[in-house]
Amino acid sequence: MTKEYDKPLVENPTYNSAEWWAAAGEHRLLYQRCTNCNRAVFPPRGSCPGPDCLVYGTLQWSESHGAGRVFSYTVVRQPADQRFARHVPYVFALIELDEGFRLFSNVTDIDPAEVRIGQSVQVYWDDVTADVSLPKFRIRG
Amino acid sequence: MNLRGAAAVVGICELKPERERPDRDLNSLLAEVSLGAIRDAGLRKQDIECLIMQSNGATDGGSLNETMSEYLGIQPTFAAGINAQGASGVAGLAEAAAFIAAGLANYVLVATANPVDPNAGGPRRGRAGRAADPFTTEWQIPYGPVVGQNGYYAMIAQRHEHLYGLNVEKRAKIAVDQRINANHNPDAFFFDTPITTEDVANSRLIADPLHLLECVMPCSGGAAYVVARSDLATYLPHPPAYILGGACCVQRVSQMHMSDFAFAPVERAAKKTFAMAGYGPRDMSILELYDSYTITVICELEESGFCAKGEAGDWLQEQDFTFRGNLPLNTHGGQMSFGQPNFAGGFSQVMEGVRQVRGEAGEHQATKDVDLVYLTGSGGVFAVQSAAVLAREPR
Ligand SMILES: [Zn+2]
Repeated sequence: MTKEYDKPLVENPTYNSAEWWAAAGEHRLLYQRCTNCNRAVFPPRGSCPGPDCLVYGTLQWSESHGAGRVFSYTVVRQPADQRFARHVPYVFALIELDEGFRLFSNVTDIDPAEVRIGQSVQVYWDDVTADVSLPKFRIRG
Repeated sequence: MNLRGAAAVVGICELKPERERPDRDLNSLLAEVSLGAIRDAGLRKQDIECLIMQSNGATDGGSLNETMSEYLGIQPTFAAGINAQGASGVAGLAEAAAFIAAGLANYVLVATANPVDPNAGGPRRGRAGRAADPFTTEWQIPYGPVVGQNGYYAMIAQRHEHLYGLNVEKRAKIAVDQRINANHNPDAFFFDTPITTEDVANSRLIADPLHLLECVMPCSGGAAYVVARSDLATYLPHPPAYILGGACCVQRVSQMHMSDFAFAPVERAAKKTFAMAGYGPRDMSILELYDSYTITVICELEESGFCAKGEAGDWLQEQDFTFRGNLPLNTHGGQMSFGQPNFAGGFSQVMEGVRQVRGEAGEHQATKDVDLVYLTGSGGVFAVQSAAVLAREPR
């Protein structure tokens, strides 16, 4: 854990995401599941986007096992934010979790040239501050 | 009820793209292009009954309609707006035509402008510095923001390459043919610089697998057009460019949406537009397609039905997309070679479509007859996409 994490973080989680960030601090990867249609939903929101879900508030928190695949990725060579400059090239990826939702993250501990769409990955937690942990991914062996 | 042929573009005005116009503000550029379009149409200010101002990122206080009404001295009887980002220019065609077909206005002004490159000067002014959005910023920024939308479109290209094998050498066809068009357009940012397939493939990787010469050139500019009721349009100075159909389809805001983003919402927009127009892809004389990146155009060609999904790679190589070719595409050079003044970039396709229908594009006028023009617009990361057909005749 470092006290001098200098990269951008969300200072004020949104109405629906505060609980997600709190769980992340405990290394639990949450998503929402609809009690009406059973759809997995992410990012967190108040109502289900399923075609037949017309009632607000049918989503409940569920915990992911953190296993998934690389849905797509890019190698960042020129970051928009100079605070990431010392890490280039790094892998910015969209991960599809086995439970059926997607989130953006980094795939680390791998040569960027070795990353492929469809590779199996597993979440690990990067404790960037005393309060904030970020879900990141490594190739699953 | 249908808007087919109900209205036509009768006036246009576009600023030459420049790297930046730090001495200008949004309102002054909007005024310049708005006045230019009204003059080009041969109309007076008091003829304009409806304003459609592109409003993404322009809402620091008040409303652009109110500001620009006072600024210009225009008193509309209906004030609308369009906020489909890069899809706005093409979406505005159907929106303006709908106001006219419904009897709310006889003349509509649509305008946008951009004084500076929104990504210049680092994240404080770029997308990374925008206020938190519950579906994007919070879930992307902690993992290393990318410049503009490079990384997100790179993920689309990566996925397309994974599914269909479309590599940089094949994608380069778009960049190279469009550059030939730009080399015949003195207003284009890259008028003086020809490129080859090798140049594209050997240019610096921006975000894998996209190379520098596959990306737009962000800059400053602005554009406006006036749409008139068809029976009134024939009395004005320029040949009308009739609006035969249009649509603007929204899909998502982020790529976390559970659709495969190698497939784009322009498919729905194209189907609706062609059905309204009464024509299909093969009937189109030329194409003016939103081109933030090579992959953007390629997905739009596939999803609009010019070739089957996934088959663009070989199909592209068989076409000549230059103004002299069988299927002229982005005859002004496209935003990649003409320049992308933020949301005015999406207006450049409209400006060029109208010039081509009028037959006044000069050196880059298509050598074939231009009866029907197919146009697309795209906003966000395939978040919202528009389509339209412009024509020399009202049916
Ligand atoms: Zn549901």
